[in-house]
Amino acid sequence: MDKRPTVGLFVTCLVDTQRPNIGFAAVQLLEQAGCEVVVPTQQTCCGQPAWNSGDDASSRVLAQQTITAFEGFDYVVLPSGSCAGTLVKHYPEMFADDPTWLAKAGDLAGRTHELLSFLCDVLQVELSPVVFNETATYHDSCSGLRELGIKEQPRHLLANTTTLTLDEMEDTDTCCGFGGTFCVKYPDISERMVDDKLSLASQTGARVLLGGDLGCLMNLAGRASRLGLPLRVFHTAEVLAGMADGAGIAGKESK
Amino acid sequence: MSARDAILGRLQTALVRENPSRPAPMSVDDAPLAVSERLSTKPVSTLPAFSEDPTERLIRMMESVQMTVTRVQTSDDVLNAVDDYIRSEGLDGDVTVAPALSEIAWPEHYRIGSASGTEATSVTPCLAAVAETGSVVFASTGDTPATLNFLPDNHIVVVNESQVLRHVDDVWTQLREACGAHRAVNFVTGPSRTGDIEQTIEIGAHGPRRMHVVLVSGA
Amino acid sequence: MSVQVTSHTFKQNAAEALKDAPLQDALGNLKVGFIKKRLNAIELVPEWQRIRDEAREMKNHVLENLDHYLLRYEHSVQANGGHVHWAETSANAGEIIVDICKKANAKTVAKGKSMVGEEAEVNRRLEEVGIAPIETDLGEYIIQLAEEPPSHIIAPAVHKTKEQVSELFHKHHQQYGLTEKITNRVDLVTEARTVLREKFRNADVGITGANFLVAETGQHVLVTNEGNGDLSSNLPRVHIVIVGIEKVVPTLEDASLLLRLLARSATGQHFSNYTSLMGGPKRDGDKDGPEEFHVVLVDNKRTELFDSELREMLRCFRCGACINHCPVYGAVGGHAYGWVYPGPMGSVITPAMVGLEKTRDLPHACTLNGRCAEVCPMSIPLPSLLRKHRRTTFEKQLQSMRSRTALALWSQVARRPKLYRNLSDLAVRTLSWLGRRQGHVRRLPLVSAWTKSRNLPTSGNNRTFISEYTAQKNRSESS
Repeated sequence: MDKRPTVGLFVTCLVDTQRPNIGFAAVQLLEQAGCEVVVPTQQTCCGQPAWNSGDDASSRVLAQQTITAFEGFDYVVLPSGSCAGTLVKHYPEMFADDPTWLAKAGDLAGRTHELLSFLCDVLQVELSPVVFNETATYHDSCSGLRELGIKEQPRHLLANTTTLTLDEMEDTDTCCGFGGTFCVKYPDISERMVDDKLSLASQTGARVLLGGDLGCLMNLAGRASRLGLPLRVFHTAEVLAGMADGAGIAGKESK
Repeated sequence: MSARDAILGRLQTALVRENPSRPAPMSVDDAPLAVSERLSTKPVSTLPAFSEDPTERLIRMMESVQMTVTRVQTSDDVLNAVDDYIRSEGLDGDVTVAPALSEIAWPEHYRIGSASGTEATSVTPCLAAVAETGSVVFASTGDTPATLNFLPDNHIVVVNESQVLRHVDDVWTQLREACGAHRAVNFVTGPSRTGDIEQTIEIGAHGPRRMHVVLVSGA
Repeated sequence: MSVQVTSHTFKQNAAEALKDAPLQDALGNLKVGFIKKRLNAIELVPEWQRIRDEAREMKNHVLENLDHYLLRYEHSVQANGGHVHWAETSANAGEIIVDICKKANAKTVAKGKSMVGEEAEVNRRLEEVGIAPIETDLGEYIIQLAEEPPSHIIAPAVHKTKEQVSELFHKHHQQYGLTEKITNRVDLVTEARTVLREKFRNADVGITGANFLVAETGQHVLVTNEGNGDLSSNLPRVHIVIVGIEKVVPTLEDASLLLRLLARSATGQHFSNYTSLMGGPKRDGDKDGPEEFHVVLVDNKRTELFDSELREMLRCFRCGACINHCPVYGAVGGHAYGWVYPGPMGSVITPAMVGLEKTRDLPHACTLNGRCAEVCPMSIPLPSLLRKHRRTTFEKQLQSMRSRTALALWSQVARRPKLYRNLSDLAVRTLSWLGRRQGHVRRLPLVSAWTKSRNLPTSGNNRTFISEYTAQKNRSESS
């Protein structure tokens, strides 16, 4: 009899603090797909902000902490392309001169997947049908797209699982202007970029905007909410798990 | 130390540090094997494949960049084809013909020589035409002055079908066979154009506004 | 026209650019003008990826033997009767050019577009000694009239609208008899053609750049669409080529390999209008061409780039694809970057050439979205090279105190899981309370850069995911 694969869920610091619903959706989807999910409490931040700021020493400490926290799982899954990209692509770069940790980083990289591509490519799972009678448009987050090749997987899952209609915006793969610390270091430029993106999204007429990376989604949702745009923003996992029934990220919950 | 030696020295210091066994001579005769091999074997890279007939492709590619093409049977038809084009397009002004084409019995008012800068039209032969890119290739000599390719408003080029080559790299072979004493080799792919005002293409920036090819099938 | 470095005021430059309505209109042309055309051109070449890989390998081979290929190129140019000059700095390059022009008794110089020429501030140096440089590329000519530096490496006047060009011609061409304001593009192009034709005719020296130097033959490859480079090379008595040392390739076959990538990446053309190979002065029997031919090989920190982690940048052949696809460039345009090279390639090169201290914003003003690397025909990993500059800014403590403190604080907390849990629970509780009515916070002092233009989403939960999940888990296990 097949043993259920164990998945260490790295929930990411943004989901942990800003949108737990995505974490619960991830757990639900992974369990639906037959995985045994564990959420290690030693996890904090993957180190991406430090790495992208050029603070290599700090990023290595956080990487070691993460590698240790996720030892022993068959898979490590993250509901974020950019954090998954950090583990898969950048941890090995961080330890280029340290054979012991390089081997560990390589081992982790081999077991690590972004949630939606894990469900689609690795588990090739059929999820329980979800009624979501909305027209949505999709933002491809840059790191997931370009570091991990995530493009068709979320669309495939949405089409096979839900009743939503996808209305693609122009330039789905153009950056939304989040860029981690970029958006607070260069707020004016970031604002222009997010406005361009929201204008393309709005041109579709879709009332729902989906994506796979909470950083981008907070940026898009935070700006849409400030501008009063009638756009509900969700992580794709929330829709797939049937947990996208509220007002969306930055929206007013109707309780 | 000269600037030359300082620049080369810095490159060599870095390269030797990476590969201590690397020789670092300052003479052109001491190239490493990889360099002299590449220079002598001249490896050809992946060429874009096409199944079209080269002449058909050439014409299609030329027309896609606003060149016009007339096909004629033999070299005897060139004179009429050129004259017809000049008349039908209403190209006023002087015509200068490259000395390489002086054997054709041009009308008397056509001038043979290099560009004066005042002619409206030039008529020149070419070294080759390239199906891959839709280019005509000119090699400068006393009989084929390069300025005729650039100064006149209208440029008429006589291409023999036997000159049609498949790829740009085939031109290199031909240039080497000709022992390449040419100062300039110009690939021209359509009339002069610019996109410098609002990224919108306009024809006729500095070079010819019209390019017409007379393509000769036979000898 | 001189190129003052203003990269240190990047934020201010960018803020002004964002408010500049004509600039924003002009930048809108990038998408149709470059991005879509490039995509269409590449789709017609199924071999694209292979050609790209071969180009990277070829250029890596050149860099591993750059000294030898430069020696070979020099030897071949001399065999063609040309002169080779070596310049360690951009100032040296400028001086060499001024000297050649003075010896030629030059009054006017016809210039083709050259970014290395911008590095060396050739125009300023010539003007200082009373020689008039005339830019002949239409875009360069427009900005020369406007007394501005280029804002893009292949479309120097991309920031100008048609109306602005019309104004400039009206102002500067009255001396040539222009009385009416020209309103359509075709007539603007014709007007420039007419005026510049005279300049070509009278120029004593032509100065151009070069796209590639062919070591085998001593020729250089020059690519233009207008034909101005060829007129600048063929008409004046003296021709000077100014070029960076990294532009050398071994053979003609290697030049055609790169040519297949260059035009498609730059403008979406399968081949540029004029692709010319030139080498040396007029040959015996030639009726045209220059009497003297000079090449100025410029280092200007390229050997430093070579001997650094940024060596891969020397594969760059200046197609501008990274610039066209950069969303930050698309928002602020080229002048905000404050020096010769804008966009992603500029944010790697500029700090290396003019110093990271003066340009510390450039490597950071990037979302690391990776589109530049994706389109780079030479497969230069631009985001990872930018990150290397970021590491240097971190090590040299060049970033603002505020962002360094924030990062240090974050890292210290994140490496203590227990403390991290407690603090994040506290933060979530506070935020949720603040956002309890709207689902977001409109203003928050510590993250004002965020809340200036965005609401900050709050979770609606009183706990972090991990606390909540762990609590649920414990409940279900104990029941």
